[in-house]
Amino acid sequence: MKEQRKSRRNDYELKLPLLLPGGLGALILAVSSHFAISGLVVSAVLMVITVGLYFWHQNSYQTSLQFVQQELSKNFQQENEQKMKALQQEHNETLSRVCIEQVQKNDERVQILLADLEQRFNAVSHLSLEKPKFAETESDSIEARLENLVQHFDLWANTLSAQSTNFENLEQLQDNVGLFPLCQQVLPVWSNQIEMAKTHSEESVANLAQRFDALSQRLDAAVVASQGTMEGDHGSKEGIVDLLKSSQLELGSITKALSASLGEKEHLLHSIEALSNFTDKLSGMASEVSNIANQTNLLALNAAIQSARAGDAGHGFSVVADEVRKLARLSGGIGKQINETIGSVNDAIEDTLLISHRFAEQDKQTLNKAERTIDYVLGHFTRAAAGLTNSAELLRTENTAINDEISEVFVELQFQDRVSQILTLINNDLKKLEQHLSELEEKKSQHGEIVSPINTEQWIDELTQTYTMVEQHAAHDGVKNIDTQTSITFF
Amino acid sequence: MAKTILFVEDSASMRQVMMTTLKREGYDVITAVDGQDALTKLDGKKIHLIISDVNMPNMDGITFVKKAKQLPAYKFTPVIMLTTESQESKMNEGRAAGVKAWIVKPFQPPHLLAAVSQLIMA
Repeated sequence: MKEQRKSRRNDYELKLPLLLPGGLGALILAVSSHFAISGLVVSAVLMVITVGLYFWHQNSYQTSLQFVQQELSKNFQQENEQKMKALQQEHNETLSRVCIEQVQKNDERVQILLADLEQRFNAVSHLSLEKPKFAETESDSIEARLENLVQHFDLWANTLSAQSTNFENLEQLQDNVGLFPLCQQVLPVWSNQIEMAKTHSEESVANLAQRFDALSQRLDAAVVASQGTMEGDHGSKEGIVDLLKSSQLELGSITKALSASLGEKEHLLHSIEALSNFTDKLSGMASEVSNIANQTNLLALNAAIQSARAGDAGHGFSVVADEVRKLARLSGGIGKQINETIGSVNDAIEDTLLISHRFAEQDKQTLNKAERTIDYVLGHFTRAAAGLTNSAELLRTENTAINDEISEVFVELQFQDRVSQILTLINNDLKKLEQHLSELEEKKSQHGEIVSPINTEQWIDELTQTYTMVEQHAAHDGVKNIDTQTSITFF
Repeated sequence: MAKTILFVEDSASMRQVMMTTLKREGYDVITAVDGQDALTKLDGKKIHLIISDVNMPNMDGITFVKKAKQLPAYKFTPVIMLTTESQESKMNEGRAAGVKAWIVKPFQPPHLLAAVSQLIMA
């Protein structure tokens, strides 16, 4: 009833905003016409009222909406609760059915297990041990059968305790097989052998690495020496190539000097030839002197003849003529001597020219030969130097390649470290086993304790935890080929 | 002046290989056989870089790094761990101890030298 009233009130509130503006509009129009209020004021009043009504209507609308939502959710909740109850009931029924089935199955399995246990007990009782007595009357219920089995367990425990000496006999039997003392003796030997192999391999690989290093260093030294021979140390001008270049230049300067000397000699020869022309002139001049002497002699003879004709008056003149004749003869003789001397000089010059020409020719030939020999030798040296340069380059290239190879060898040599780690781990495990066996032996001999068997699973787990490499885990699992790759991680 | 590197490794062959690799590049190398020996070898010397193995007798590599980092002279010395260990937990332990790089053996000389040069120059 209350809800119906509330609903009706909401309906009324919804209709009210529609009725109010009309009534108020009519009222205001009547008032405005009566009091002559301007249309603008009336419009403003109406607008204010309309806005107020708008917000009031909005509020009323939201209230109505909430009411509708509440009603709907209440209905849905009721429906859901009913459905949930139905589903829960159905689920409980199914669960009960499954549980019953499960209990039945378990009951069957327990029955089977009990039968099996009884069979096993009976089988064990047929051994050399005294057979425990089963209860004659067995209840069919599970509880009764379990109780019976518990009694059997107690019986068997007592029997086993009584027969502990039999177990000692069994241990004795194990000792008689010889496994225990064998392990105690052989394990340290194995350990020592592994240690020795590890040490040997470590020393050998270290020596190998040292020798590779020495090899590499000697190769480097050879390359440096070769480079020094070819190019000089630190780019100095002492290399064979530079030596060849400087030798070529120096030999070239010598041949140039020789050539210049030859030119000088030719110039000298021309000068000597020019001297020979001078001697011809001198010879001509000597002949002229001889002619003048002859003519002077003739003239002096004529003068003597004329002085003789003149008598005593010409006596003085005759003496002068004689003296002139003597001088003319002397001059003629000197001219002749000059001529002869010039001839001798001429002969000497000709001889000199001949020898000089011969020497010049020889010098020319010698120079040509020297130039050819120098070119030949330098050519040989250049080819040899080119060969040496190629060899040095090849040596340098090979050295780089060998150094790369040695780097790879160094990578491969690191296998020893890995092998060493694996061997150390095995050795430690052998020592652990040896220690364990010693402790067992001590316990047995000193305290007479019964030795419990080694927990193999725990042992293997402990061994696995000591692995540091991926390949150790892989080998443990029987994987043979594992690709070990290096990696660098920067933090 | 040549930079000095301390290499800590119990394997003689690895020490030789590393010494050869580093010396060929012009580094001065001091070697130690385990962490304890390395601490003795430090002795206040100027060390530009430490390369250490992890699993060693007497004192392991991580403990050595922790102890070395406590010494004022080596607080900022970069450290490379060179080991067969590649477990994440061990690497994190090394990182916490102040290790700058973790190289899993076998190392490639060019890669190692690049890392060494990078850390020494840093």
